[in-house]
Amino acid sequence: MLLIDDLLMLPFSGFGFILRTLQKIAEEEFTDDAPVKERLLELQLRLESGEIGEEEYAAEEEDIIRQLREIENRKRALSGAPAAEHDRGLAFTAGETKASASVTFHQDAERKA
Amino acid sequence: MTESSASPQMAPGEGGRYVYGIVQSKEPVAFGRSGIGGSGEMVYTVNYQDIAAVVSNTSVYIFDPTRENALAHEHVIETVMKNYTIIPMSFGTVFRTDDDIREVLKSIYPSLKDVLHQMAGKLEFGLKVNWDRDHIIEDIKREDEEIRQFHQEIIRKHLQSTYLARMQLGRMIDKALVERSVGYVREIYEALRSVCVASRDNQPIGDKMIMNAAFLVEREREAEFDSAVNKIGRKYGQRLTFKYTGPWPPYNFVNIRLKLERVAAG
Repeated sequence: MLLIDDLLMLPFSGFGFILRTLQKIAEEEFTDDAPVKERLLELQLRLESGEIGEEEYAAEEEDIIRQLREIENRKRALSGAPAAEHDRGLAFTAGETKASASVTFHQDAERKA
Repeated sequence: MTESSASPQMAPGEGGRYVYGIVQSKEPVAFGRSGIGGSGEMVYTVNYQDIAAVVSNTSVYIFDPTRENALAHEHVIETVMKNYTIIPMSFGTVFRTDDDIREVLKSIYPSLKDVLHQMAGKLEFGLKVNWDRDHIIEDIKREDEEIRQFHQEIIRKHLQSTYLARMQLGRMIDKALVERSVGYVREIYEALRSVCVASRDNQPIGDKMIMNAAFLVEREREAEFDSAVNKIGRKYGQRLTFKYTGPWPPYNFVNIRLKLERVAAG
């Protein structure tokens, strides 16, 4: 099969690298909440423009929220953070905590094409 | 699963602290019983020197981004904004205790002061611009000479393979659409450049939107900015719809990064 030939020809040693990369991609997709959040934003726009009513909005919102919770739990499992139900908030640990605040001020000089 | 609105308010000190944002204040301030969660929790400040976090008590630690919750979060920020410059926190930030909050305020005190100083007297406005793709395509077919002629040729069936020709026409139209949207967006930014301090280009949402931007405007120039938006809105009123919102706290111009320990029960 052509695919296996390609894999064998890669300059990196062995299958380990490939498997780790594939695993990373799979993990990223598994925990990527961006498309689901985009769905929520689009749903809100449709409600605001009058395209859908409150009931339809509420029903679909519930579904999206359920998906977001699912993804949140996956993220927590992967990073070793406590499960959502057991979370008791953010805490400051001297030495462990990293916090920063900054201003991003820019005039978008170049429009992206 | 939502918190029952009949549940009693917590005893002082109990539960976590939902954080709405950070303000400048030496004294403790109270902002009314409009805490997120629907049980009338008091919104108040946790102070450290001359800055303070605006918080309310909560027995819920994870908040779903429902419209109801988002509106509650926004409502508190809007109330605070009337009298204070506020660095808004992202939705759903819950701290364990007041002390944890004070420790964070202490650890980034200089940056927070700097941000508060830079943001004083500045408001954020949002501008989303939509178009009707079909109307724009009609414009293109009428106004672009090359496309118009090509289209005419297809109609008159002068071209041998109309399928391939239609494909090519489609590609030409797509290219023209991109050029038009880029042109509109550039003109709108140009019209507003001199009346704002900064701007930010966000990803448009959905397929009708061609522009999704945030503008940072000085309070004293709000009326000027307003009229510049209205002017450009009227100019393109036939083809574009403008959705102009605000004032908001500077969500798009301030960055707060928190890498903190998440505490578990038990």
